Amino acid sequence: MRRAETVAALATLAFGTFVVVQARALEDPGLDAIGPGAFPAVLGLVIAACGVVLLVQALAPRRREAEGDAEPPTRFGVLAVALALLVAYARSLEWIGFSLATVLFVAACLALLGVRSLARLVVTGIAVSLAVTVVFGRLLGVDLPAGRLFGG
Amino acid sequence: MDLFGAVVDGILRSLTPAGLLAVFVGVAWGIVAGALPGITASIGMALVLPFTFGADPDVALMLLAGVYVGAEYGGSIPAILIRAPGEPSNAPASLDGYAMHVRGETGRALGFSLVPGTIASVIGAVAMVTLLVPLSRLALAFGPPEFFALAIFGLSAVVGLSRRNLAKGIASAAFGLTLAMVGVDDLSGEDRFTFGIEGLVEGIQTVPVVIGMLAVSEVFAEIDRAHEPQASISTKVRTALPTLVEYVRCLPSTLLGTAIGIVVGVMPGAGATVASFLAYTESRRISKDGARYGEGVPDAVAAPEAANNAVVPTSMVPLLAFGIPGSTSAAIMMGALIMHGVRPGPQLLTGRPEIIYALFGGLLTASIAMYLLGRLFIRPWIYIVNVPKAYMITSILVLVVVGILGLELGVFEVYMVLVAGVVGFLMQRYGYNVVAAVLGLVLGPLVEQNLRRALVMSRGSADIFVERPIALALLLLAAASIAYPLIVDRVKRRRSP
Repeated sequence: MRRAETVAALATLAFGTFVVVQARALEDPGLDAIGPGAFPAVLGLVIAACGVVLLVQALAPRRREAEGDAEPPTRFGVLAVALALLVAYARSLEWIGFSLATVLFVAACLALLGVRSLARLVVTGIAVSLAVTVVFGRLLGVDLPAGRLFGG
Repeated sequence: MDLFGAVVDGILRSLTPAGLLAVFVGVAWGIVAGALPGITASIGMALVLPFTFGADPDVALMLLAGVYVGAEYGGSIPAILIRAPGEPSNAPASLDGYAMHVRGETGRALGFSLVPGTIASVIGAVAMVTLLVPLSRLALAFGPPEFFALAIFGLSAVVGLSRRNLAKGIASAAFGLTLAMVGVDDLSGEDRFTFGIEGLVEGIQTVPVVIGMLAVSEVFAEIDRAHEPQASISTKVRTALPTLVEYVRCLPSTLLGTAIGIVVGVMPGAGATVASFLAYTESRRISKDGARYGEGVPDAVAAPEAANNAVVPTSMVPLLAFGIPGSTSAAIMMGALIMHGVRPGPQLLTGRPEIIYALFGGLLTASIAMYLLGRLFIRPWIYIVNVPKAYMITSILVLVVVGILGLELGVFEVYMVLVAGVVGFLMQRYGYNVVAAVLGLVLGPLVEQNLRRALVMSRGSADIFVERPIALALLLLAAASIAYPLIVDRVKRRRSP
């Protein structure tokens, strides 16, 4: 937890510094009182200052009131797979069309989240795909891609 | 148009087929979203926001208002049945509501959430319109320094609530403001923070980022927790509702909760959760059963549930009168308005009053819809809490993607939603304040433009913020709302060594 706090502090400090540097590089055409870079530079300074405070907090000796955070570790692996599935879903829409892509995405996502029955994966996939096509495609008129593979 | 005629027009607008459909669909989805764990009112609103794209602006507002109203009741269902509030603002109801459920009085507990909530919602809508007229007139007297100061106050009020870590809260708000700076600067024409990426030239679009940061990030958090066992509810519960006499007996605490909700709702930053906790503790003083709070007392459910519903309409007041949202839900409303080309602010009441009165009509109709839907379908709403998480998460992700398709945005925006989702998740995971960041993004252009205009007025001197009394007062309030929690914490620490 301690290390995570230090990393968060350093990330905040780095982002703030980056904003300041970028904002300072902006030219001021002198059209108004402070120019386009001034306010972003102040924001960058505020963020960097917060980063310094966080760094001090993270490195300071622990207070008595140790926060009792026994949070379980984040499952970054599962999250990365979920994100990859979403990207694949978004990319595949224009190729294989909404209906098929949704069946595949729903099945894959459920499998990732621990549903193990193949019948359930397939049935839910088809059900969600159909329901969305009817409700959003037909009733609400959302333009759901048909897919180039199917001449869309 | 006189006030009375305008109000009637607004109500009639919400009773047209399109209005009724928007309100009922909104409330039904709101109850579902509220009842689902992790999906708060603002997430529910963010998820339907894309589907308002093709609708008229007033119908869009009615749909969103319906979601907000419905969610405040929906959240009390899991609070009462499994002691896990669907919304943070339903936490007080989980104390006595759950105790009543354990005694076998589930229907009574739900009734004491539904009916006081409905009453509060109606009174709150009336309060909203009543407050709007004088406040909009006040807002017309505001210049750039005042708007700048008010926006800063709104932001710091939200930051002040990030108890866990103030530095992270401030950094989050500044981060949101920085995101708003991306794109071509209106005043100078300079490209800012675009790094040669074409999609960024017109700035970061609010709607995809709001959906990503609020909704997608929460879905990621749910995925992270998806392997944990899920509490399931027996749907064999007694659904006998309270009697009219019992409701009347709860009227004092209902009205107290409503009053607290109205006052807290108008203040930026505070919101439904603060109101419902306040109502819980304050109603204890006036309740005859005050000593038995926690054992399943009707007043202890009625007061907080009235308070969180009263907040819904009044939290729109800062947005409608000043153009400055004081909560995420109001920020989403603002996103919807801007998407439809309507600029919220003091000109709204004089320029396009029909939108405000349609929202008022929508809120009233939504209150009735909440009562009807809540009353007619007690059991189906209970089943929703039992939906396995895997199915809920998957459906919501599909809904997000369909929403982006509905907005007819490009591939770039799809990635924007995902990136915002990841950033939002990481911020949440490491104790940053996502709400402050979203509000910063929405308020960013307003803050900067008014700051620069004010400085042009004063020829570059910052004294203008000190010389104008309203601006000074607002900035002092902003400072106080950040300093106050710090002081309170320090005092508490000293008292309990």
